[in-house]
Parts: sequence; structure tokens; C-alpha cells
Amino acid sequence: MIVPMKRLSLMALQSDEEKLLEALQRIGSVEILNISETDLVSDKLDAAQDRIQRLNDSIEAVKPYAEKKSFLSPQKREASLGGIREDSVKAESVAEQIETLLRKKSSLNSEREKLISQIEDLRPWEELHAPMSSVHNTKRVTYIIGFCAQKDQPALESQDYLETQFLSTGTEIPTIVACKNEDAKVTQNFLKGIEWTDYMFPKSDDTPSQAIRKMENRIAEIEKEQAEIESDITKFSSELDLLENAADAAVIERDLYSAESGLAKTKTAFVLEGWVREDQVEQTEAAVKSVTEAYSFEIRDPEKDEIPPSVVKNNKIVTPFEEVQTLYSRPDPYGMDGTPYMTPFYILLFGLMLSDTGYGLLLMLGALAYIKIKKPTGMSGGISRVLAWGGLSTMVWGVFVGSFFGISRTPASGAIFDYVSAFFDKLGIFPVWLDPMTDSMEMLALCMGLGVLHLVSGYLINAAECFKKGDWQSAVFDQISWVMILLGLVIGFLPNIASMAGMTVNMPASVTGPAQICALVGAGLILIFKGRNSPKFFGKITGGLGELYNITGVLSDILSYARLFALGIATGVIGQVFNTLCAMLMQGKSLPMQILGGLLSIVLLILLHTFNLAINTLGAFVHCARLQYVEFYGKFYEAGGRAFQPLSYNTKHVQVTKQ
Amino acid sequence: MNWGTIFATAGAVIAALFAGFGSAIGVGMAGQAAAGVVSEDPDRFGSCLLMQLLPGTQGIYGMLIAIVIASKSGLMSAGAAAISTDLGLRFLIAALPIAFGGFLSAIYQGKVACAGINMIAKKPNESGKGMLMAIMVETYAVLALLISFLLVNGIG
Repeated sequence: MIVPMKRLSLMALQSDEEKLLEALQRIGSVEILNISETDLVSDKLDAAQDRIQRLNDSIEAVKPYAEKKSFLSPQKREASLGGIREDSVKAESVAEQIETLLRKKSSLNSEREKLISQIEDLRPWEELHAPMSSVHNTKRVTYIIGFCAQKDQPALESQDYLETQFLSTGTEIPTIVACKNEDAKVTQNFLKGIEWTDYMFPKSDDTPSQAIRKMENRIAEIEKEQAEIESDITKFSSELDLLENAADAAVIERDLYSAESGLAKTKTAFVLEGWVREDQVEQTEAAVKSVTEAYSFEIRDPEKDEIPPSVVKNNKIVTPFEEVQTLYSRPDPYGMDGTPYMTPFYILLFGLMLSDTGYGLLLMLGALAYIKIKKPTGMSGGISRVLAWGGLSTMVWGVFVGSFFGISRTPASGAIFDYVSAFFDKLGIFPVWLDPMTDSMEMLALCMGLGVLHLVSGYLINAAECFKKGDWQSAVFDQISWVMILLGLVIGFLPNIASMAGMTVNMPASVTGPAQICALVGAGLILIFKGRNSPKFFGKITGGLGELYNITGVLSDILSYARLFALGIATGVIGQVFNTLCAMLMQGKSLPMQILGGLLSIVLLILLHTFNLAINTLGAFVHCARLQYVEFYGKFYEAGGRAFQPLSYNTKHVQVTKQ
Repeated sequence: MNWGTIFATAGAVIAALFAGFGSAIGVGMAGQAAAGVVSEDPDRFGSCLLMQLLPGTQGIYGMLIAIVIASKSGLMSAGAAAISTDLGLRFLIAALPIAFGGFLSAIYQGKVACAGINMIAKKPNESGKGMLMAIMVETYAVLALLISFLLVNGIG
């Protein structure tokens, strides 16, 4: 159900401003709009932003050394607002110290990088055993230093007005060229003609190898200093919780200031404009009243050009499935919430895609344990509850199709698995309905039958919605007509369809006849009335034809439900093949081999089945969601709402308690 | 020479081989993209790894059909009765959907996974949507698996 939104205008004295905002943030019910006339960012907001940055940097630096959080600890620990505010005072100095260390570390790092590249540069000149400063132009001699390409070495050597010294070999030879001052021009020109790269020594009285050694010593020193800094940072690792609390406190403060900067102000008063859920209006006013008596609290319905955020509210079972809907898109605020309709189908279809009692049990228990221990909220909280429901449904479907960790009633894998199969057979509960391995056509029919049910529900929901709005024409001509066609075709031609699949279904002509007529009437309705709103005569005709052509789309929608069968069989067959492989291991030629194989199989079975469950749960989740989004929601859902973002405690590490 | 057994073996081989090729290419591509993102932001390792895994399922589907063919045609047990050429050919043909459906879908799924991994780098909160897109490609591998399995299952 979509919660109607109300527009709130609150006016109060500036002296109460901060307290009021804090009270509103505590109950988290108002999305504050920016109506401020200035774009100036307040100093307080800037400072809070900086503090968040600094704290996050510190957390990042300290985290690798901190004790790993226990696997069993909840996602967010509980703390009071007062508590984390106190922590942020202490954390301030810790963060400052860490920041200083980090800055030092990064300046050392850049120095080290620079030294390394200087060493690389000097490396080719190591064979020069004279101080670098000694190679400089004198009154009569010009020195040119650089690299000469190997192929040009003989040419350079053969110039008799030059002295050359080649310091090593290779493709680029470090070379010192000396000539008389008067030959300098000629020499330069000659060097331009060959492959020559100029080089310049750094200013130093050392020989290149001495300089390299000095720099290497400095690098060793730097590395030692860095290690010290690193160990200093490690000492702060016990303060990680403190830093995280402070970061959350800073985020809360930042949000408050950023809301504050959106207010319109006079010298003594301020105006706050925002959105409130209809069911939280009273609570909101009570929060304001608890702070001050001097206020004006006005509530009105949104006007046409104001688009409210989209909020939905449902009962406890349906609520987690809102996350599945949000993954697609929030509903249009003036449209309808699809979650209550989608939930039963999601549970039903998810189970059919996994359809294995063993996997279902495991999935349900796993999801419930995760919820119990980690106490997830938001998206992960919703999805884990969806999976718990899916696990339950998987268990039930598993009984219907007769599969338990890939073992069915018919022996298929060998070894111990066949005894389990025989046991199930004796119990007689497996399979109650059909075995997809042998009755594949029946299974396919079941899947597509569920698909028709799903699609028809989609059309009917839309029709009901149209009736509610008083638009009976759309309801009958655009929606119910399709229901007539779909059901008419399926029932009217059931015997024919069944015989194509090799089954016989007996249906009296007194049922099929009217059903076929029903389909025809539906098609007629569409043909005649679809183009009713088109202004031109031509449009009135083609509108109906075009819509009727959509029958191909509807058919492909139905065929799309074959994925239910395909994914179900993939899960079952993969599980069965894993069992077969392990059965082979267990059937060694001698007793020791059998024992060894048995032990190995136990480990393998756990790993392989976990893998199969994980990969197929992912598949079932996504494909089930797709059937809702494309096939089901395509019939009635209006997407495009935006999220409601009230001023609240938007924390990452801490769950703020009421106290 | 027993052509039936040879054809059946060929069927098992192409199912495992081509689907495996496809998955290797897909997982390989996605892995390179994932390593790039993780080098910038190690926290993204989990969601990147999941994305990288997605094109890997086709290889499993191929192996699955290969094993079903091998056990149905008695390739895995020595001394099993030889099967006729007709049957062998049917196994070979039944392996084609998963061999080529798996091959191509794994490669394209790998490409979508790469794009999804880039999306994780830019918008970490949207990783779920990237996964949805990549899994859509998988539909066709699952359908190919279904047909291959039904055909193989229907033999003998």
C-alpha cells in the first residue's frame, strides 16, 4: 500500500532551530527540502565534512591492524547518541595523530620514489670513476654528456676532432664527448645527425657510484622510518570502535547542518518545508511541541507540480519483498504498490525453481540464522527474509517433485544414494505429484499453467485499479478482454495442446465450445474498442489490430515460464551428478579404498552441494524477480517513484538506540 | 570399430569442451576486470568475485550433460554393451544445444559481467543491478541445458 505524503511547512524561532532539527532527526520522519535563497555552505557544515573525511581516513589506515570482528557479531553495534558524541571528542585527538602519521608516511613515500628514479637514472654512469662535478666545460674544452645509440658508435668514434669515452655497452651507450671549444658547434650538429640523447649530471662532488650508494642508504633509512610509523599506527588499532562511533556521530551532525542550510531564514525566525508520511504527522507535531510552544505547523496535500517521494507500507510478511520491488523501481507515488500481489507469486515460483527439500531446509535455516545473528537491516535484511520464505517454499516443492539433495525416488546415483532412494520409495511420500525427470511434459505444462495464472492476475489487478478510478472502459476493453482471450484459448484448446505434448485430456465440448467463444469475444472487444480514443477513423481501426498483434508478446510471456522448469531441473540434475561422482568414489575395489573414498566423499558432498545451492539460489532469486518485473509488473505497475530520504540517523557502524 | 560408442563419446566431449571453453573465456575476462577494480578498492572483492563467477556455470552445465551422456551410453563402466550408431548419433546431436548455447552465452555473459564490474567500481551500491543484467544472459544457457537434458534423457 502506498502511504500518502503530506507537505509540511514549519515556522519557528531561530533560537529553537537546532533543538527542533535534532528532535526531528531523532524520529526521522521529515524529508527537508532546500528552500534556502543562498547557496553559501556554512562553516559548520564544512567543518563536519572535513571531520568525516579525516575520521574515514583514520579508520581506513587502522582497519587492517584491528582485530577482525567476530563472525557472529551483528552488522551494527548498538550505542546511544550521547555515547558516540562523547566518543567523538576523544576520537578527535586520535584522528589528528593518525593524520599526522599518515602525512609523514606519504611524504616519506614520495621521497623514496624520487630517490629510486634518481638511482635508475645514474645507474648507467657507474663506470665513471671521477666526481660528477669534474666533468664541466673549461676555457678550452667543451664536454657533452649523453647516450649514443649502438649503431652510431663507430661513426662517433671515427670523428677525429673529438675525444669520446664509452662507459658501457648496450643499445644506449652512456658517452662523454670532449672537443675543443671552437669545434663545439660542429660537434653539436654532428650529434643532431645521429641518435643521441643529451644527459645532465646532478650537481654533486661524488662519483656516480658514490652518489648511488648514498641514496640507497637514505632509502634504507626511510624504510626504517616508515616501519616505525606503521607500528605507531598499529598501536591505534584498539581505537577502531572509537573512530567508527565518532565517524557516525560526525555524519549525524553533517546531515543536521546540511538540513539547516536548506531552511529559509529571517533575523529571528526560520521556515522549514518538507515531506511527511501521513501516518507520522501527529508524531512529528508532538516532537516539535516537546521542544517549543512558539511554532506554526501547517500540513497540506501536495499540489500538482510537486512530486512527493514514494513510500510503501505493508504487513510483516510482505515488507521484506519491498526490497525486491525497489531493486526494480519504486512505485509512482500516485500509482499502486505491487508488493502485496507479487509476494505470494514470488514465494511460489522461487520454490519451484530450486525445488529440493534438502536445499530448501538448508536455505531457510541459513537465512534465519543470518537474520538472528547479524540482525541485518535495509536491503540485506529484506533479502535474507525473502530467502527464508523462498527456502520454505523450496522445501514444499521439493516434496511435490521428489528431490532431496539431488536424490529422487528412482535410484540414479548408486552406492548409498540408492538406499536413500529406496527408503523414500518405501515411505511413499516422494514424489507426490510428478517427477520432472520422467514426466517432463507434465512439468512444463505445470510451469506454463502457473504462468497463465500469474499473467491473468496481472491483468485483473490492473482492471480492478481501473474500476476503482471509475474508468470501466479501460478495465473491460484493455484488461478483461485479454483475460478472456488467455483463459478462453487455454481452456478451449486444452485437449489439442495436451495431445501435442503427448498427453490426453478429456474435456467435454460443452466446456471447450463456450471457452473458444469467450476468446473470440475478447478478441472482438479489442479489435473494436482499442482504438476508441484515437481521434481519426484510421486510428480507430489500426489501434485494435496493433493491440491484437500483441498476442505474440503474451505467448512469449507464457513461454518465458519454461525457465521455472529449466532452473528446477538444473538444480536437481547438478545435485544428482555430484552424488553420482561421490558414489563412484565410495565404490572402491578394496575396503581401505572404500573407506578413503567415503571420507573424501563426505567433504566433497558438503562442498559441492553448498556450491550448487549458492549458485542456484542466486539464479532462482534473479529469474524469479525477472518474472515479476517483466511478465507480471508489465501488466499493471507504474514505476518511477523516488526514495524518501528523511533527516535521520544515517549511520554505518552503529545502531543508535533511543536513549 | 563401434561407431555408436564413438559418437556418444564425441557428444560427451563437445558438451564439456565447448561449454568449458566459453566459461573459461568468460570467467577469464571478468577476472581481469575484477582484478583491476580490486586493485583500486580491495573492499569490492566480494561483489567482484561473485560477478566473475557468473559465466562459470555454463562449464558446469556442459560437464553435467557430458556425465549424463557418459553414464547413459555406458562409457563410464568397462564392459558395457556397445550401442548402435543411431543411438550414438542421437547423443552427439543432443549435446549440441548446451555445447554451443553454453559456449556463446558464457562469452557474452563474461562481457556483461565485465561491464557490471566496472559499474561496481563507479557505483558500489548498484552491484545488484549489474548482477541482474549478467544473469539475464544465463537464461539461454539454462534453456539450452534443458533441451539437451530432455533429449539425452529421452534416449533409451
